[in-house]
Amino acid sequence: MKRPVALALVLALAWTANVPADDAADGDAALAVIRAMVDKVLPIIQNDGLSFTEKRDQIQTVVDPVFDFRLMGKLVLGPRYWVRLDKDQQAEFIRLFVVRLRDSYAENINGFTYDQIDYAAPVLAAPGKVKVTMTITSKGERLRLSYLLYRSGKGPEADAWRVYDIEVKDVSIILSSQADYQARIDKGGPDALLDELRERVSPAP
Amino acid sequence: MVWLAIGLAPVAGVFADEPGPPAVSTPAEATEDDADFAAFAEVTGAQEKVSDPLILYNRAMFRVNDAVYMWVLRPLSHGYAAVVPQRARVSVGQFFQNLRFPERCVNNLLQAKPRRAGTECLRFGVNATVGVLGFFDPATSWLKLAEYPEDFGQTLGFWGVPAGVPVTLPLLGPSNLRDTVGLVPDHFLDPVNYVDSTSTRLAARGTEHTNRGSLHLGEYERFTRGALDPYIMMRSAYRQNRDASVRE
Repeated sequence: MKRPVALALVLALAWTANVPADDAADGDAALAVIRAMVDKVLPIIQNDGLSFTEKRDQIQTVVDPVFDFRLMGKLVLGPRYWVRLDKDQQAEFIRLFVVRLRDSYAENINGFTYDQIDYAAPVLAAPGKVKVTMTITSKGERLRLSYLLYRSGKGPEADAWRVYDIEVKDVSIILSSQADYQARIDKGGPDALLDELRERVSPAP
Repeated sequence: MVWLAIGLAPVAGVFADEPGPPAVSTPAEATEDDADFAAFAEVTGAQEKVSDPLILYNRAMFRVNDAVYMWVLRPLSHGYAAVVPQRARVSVGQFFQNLRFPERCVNNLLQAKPRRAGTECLRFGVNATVGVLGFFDPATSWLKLAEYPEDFGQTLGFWGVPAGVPVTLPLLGPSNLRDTVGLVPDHFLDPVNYVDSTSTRLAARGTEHTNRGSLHLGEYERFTRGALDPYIMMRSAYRQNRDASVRE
């Protein structure tokens, strides 16, 4: 009787000792991804010698491997609306969504100024999901920006961490676009949404 | 996602032979989609419909506010930014922010957060003296004392009052029933409202808003440009931001 109890205790101890360590490792890995990305993007936006198009293209090369745009597009529609699009419409939606999000990210980040960036300790949102939050001090105000990452298990590294949502002042771009896009589908169906997105996507150069 | 895809594969297999609706994607893709949606339910599960009975009024007021911004506040802020150096505008912003400390302090107390209320008092004391009437913010830069913004809407939310229906307020923009009610007590906690002269009060208010606008040039435009329906996106953004503020 004693032995199983002792074994259970040892296991429990090992488990409790292990979990925070793993969590911390996940948090650190995700934080490192975001830090590396931010450290590469900042010199681009501060380089006055580049035109906006050049900056946008360079920013996109940095963020493309980190952002899971395809997943974000799918999440924006959510399970109930995603299935209302046929396969071609889904592919077209993802294409348009990705173009728009990449452009909008570059546009927003390009107007970005800061005096100081402080990273908070990464938060384990769920197993395999980490929220990396930074506070940006700019013009006497503080802005909270969070990147939500998941361990994709894909890509060049088995443990690649990729972004699936961004929160600016606690406002998720996925949830905001979700409200917007779903309202469009409710009103005019998937084609109305696609038409409107097509109109707003700048033509390919 | 992969682990969930594996976990859900047998479940999907059960339904694979059933004559379902016309195939929109291959079973493998559908499984991957389902797995993604299951794995990220926190961002896809919140799809409940927003009750917005005042939507016609709200949309109309949103358009009015949009026009006021585009035709009055925006040109004013651009002109002001061209004349007043950024350093001075930041100081003016900090002055107004410091002045509004009673709202933050009292609402922290009302939410049983005495330590934060104390920090707010200390911040005010430091900034009003060492910070030259609040034009500078040594409380943050030297003492690392962070601000804890709280208002009465958040206090009501803290004690469980639901947000209520969305309401777009004239000039102030997106709100909800709870936060609109919360404006009344906060009005009495704003020192600017105790200035006797109406013209001085209006001038102070005008300066505060123009100054804030001048520090956020282009943000509203970028936000609305990113939306298909700016009203819907603004309503969602406001709700998320306020929900998070109440949770803190």
